[in-house]
Amino acid sequence: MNQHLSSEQISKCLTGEATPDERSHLQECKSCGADLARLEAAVSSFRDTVREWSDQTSGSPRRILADPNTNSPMLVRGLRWGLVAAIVVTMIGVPVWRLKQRQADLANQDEILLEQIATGLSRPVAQPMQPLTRLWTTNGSPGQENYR
Amino acid sequence: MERALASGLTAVDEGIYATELEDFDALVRLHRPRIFRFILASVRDRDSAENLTQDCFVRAYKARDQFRGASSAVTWLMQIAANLVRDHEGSSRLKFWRRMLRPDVDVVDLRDWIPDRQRSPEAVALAKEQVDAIWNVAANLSERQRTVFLLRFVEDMDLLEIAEVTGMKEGTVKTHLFRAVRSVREGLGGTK
Repeated sequence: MNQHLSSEQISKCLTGEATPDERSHLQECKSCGADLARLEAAVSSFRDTVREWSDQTSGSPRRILADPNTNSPMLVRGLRWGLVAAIVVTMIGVPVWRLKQRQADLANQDEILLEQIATGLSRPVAQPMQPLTRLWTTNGSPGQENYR
Repeated sequence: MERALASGLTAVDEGIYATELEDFDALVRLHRPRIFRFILASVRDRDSAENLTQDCFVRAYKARDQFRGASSAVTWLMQIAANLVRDHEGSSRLKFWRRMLRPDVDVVDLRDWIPDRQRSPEAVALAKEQVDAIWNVAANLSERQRTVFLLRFVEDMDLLEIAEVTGMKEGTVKTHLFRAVRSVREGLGGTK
């Protein structure tokens, strides 16, 4: 194998899938060997860094195994979602409740107005003319008080 | 038993694996760092990793009677962890809400964790560049490719173990691993 290994072949070498030909080429060809070494070094740096990060980040195991129901992450998650649900219900519920209140108020006002109209219509004399009716007695003659 | 023999395990192996679960506290102490590391590298968020690691051991504890010892305890735990990571990834549609609930989540800069080991400044700078490139590539890999890549190169698992953890066939694992490595190589700028 005189040609250099392709990118795919180098990747295969890293995953341990190289053919005997590719392996022998790697031993002979400095360029391909360096290429693979560079890739291995990068992956090795990545591994060391992830391990360092994990070692420094890891907290001590929480003691939940004695009672798996206490402080369960599921419970915490449930509470979080409960909070979200409460916020959503409030955000939707409050405007709907206000709208219904307003509609009820309007209906109430309409009812009062209609009652007032009905009362006005049921009177024998219109309200502005009612003071004049006091000037007349029931039998049609002028009231006495007006002659005093 | 047949399953164990088919997978190359002897009855003695099975017995050894099954006894691993007898002292569950010891099991947690022994394997927690590794499970946490895999989950942390997968989800990239400390709090989520802590929670999922906790979930993993709670599930294992609850299902410990079902463990037949056909594989090692760590493979079994890793299997649970990989499923949890997959479920976590699946709920990515809810990321907005998760972020809203957890505004303290920082973007992880893995370069901050590169071990020094008395390397020259140039070597550290090169390592930072490489780690950064791999970290970015890993973020864009599919969930399966990333899992296979992390299990192989961070957890040093062989292909058969990875197949057992992920529930994929060995050939499928090879394909995912090859694609992941190819992407990493491209990310490092090493294409011919």
